[in-house]
Amino acid sequence: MDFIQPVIQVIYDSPIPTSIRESEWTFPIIQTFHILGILLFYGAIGLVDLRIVGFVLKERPARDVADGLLPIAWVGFVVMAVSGGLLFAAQAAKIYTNLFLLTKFGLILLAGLNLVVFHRFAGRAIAIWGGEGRTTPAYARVSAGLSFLLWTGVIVTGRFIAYF
Amino acid sequence: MSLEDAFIWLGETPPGIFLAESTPAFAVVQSIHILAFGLLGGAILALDLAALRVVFRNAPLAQTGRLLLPVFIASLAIAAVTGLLLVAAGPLKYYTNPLFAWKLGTLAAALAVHLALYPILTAKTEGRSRAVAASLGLISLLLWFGVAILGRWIGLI
Repeated sequence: MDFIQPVIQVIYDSPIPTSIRESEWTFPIIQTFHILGILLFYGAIGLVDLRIVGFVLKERPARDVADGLLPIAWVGFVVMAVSGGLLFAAQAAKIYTNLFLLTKFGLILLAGLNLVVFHRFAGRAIAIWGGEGRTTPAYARVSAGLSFLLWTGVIVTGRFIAYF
Repeated sequence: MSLEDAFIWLGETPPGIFLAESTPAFAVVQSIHILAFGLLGGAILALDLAALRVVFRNAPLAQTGRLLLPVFIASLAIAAVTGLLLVAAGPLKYYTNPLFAWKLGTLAAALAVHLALYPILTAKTEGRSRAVAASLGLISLLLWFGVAILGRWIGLI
């Protein structure tokens, strides 16, 4: 893993991360966007996941809940990812070996993988089982439950980076 | 007992002392606070977007509100309890922080919109009530973003 350290150092020393690090206000302002992105993303994806699992909004077709809230989740995701990338770059050399950061990256990868697998196998089928009064298939409920737990883990490990 | 005494008393309770001394425990409680806050925000967002006719366009707004109420109440309860625990871990820090009162005030306004104004003003979804609902949706979204921003900055000033 010797090649990682020099790459991290180049990112860390590049102009934008350096200016974020050296400014008094830029860092907390980006942090504010990061938390807003997290809240949008987690609030939206969390409700969709919990609907598919069958905990909330059971009287509404899963497809309606997903159609309404997934665009919001994507907006939140973009805000979260861009601000998160900047926050990471600004501190990269100091935190790239942080155990919680690495766990967080691992969980994000798993959450992405879960999403890809879910769409590969269920993608268009939601149009059928997601309708009014239909039973949600077990694989969809497992995948949604997994998504909820993985993103929860991402937020928790993210919060812990600041303390350790 | 003054308000300041109440904050000090909170800090001397067993959970307050425990959380003041344990960084991991504090970070766990803070994480749960953020998660519950996120879900509460999700429920608020879903109703606001329904009021703005972005989602659940064909369903009565009052019904959407009723369906979201369990998530709303459960996540609010968790966020409130964990919030109280976070204050107990460092009460004077919050007592003297001007943003803390602003956050609670904004939160109270956001909750009032959802628990009082929505049910009263949007019982019907026709005509004028639709414009009223859209305004409520917009006001609520702004209040909610305000609570989140103030929450972040409490820890920064």
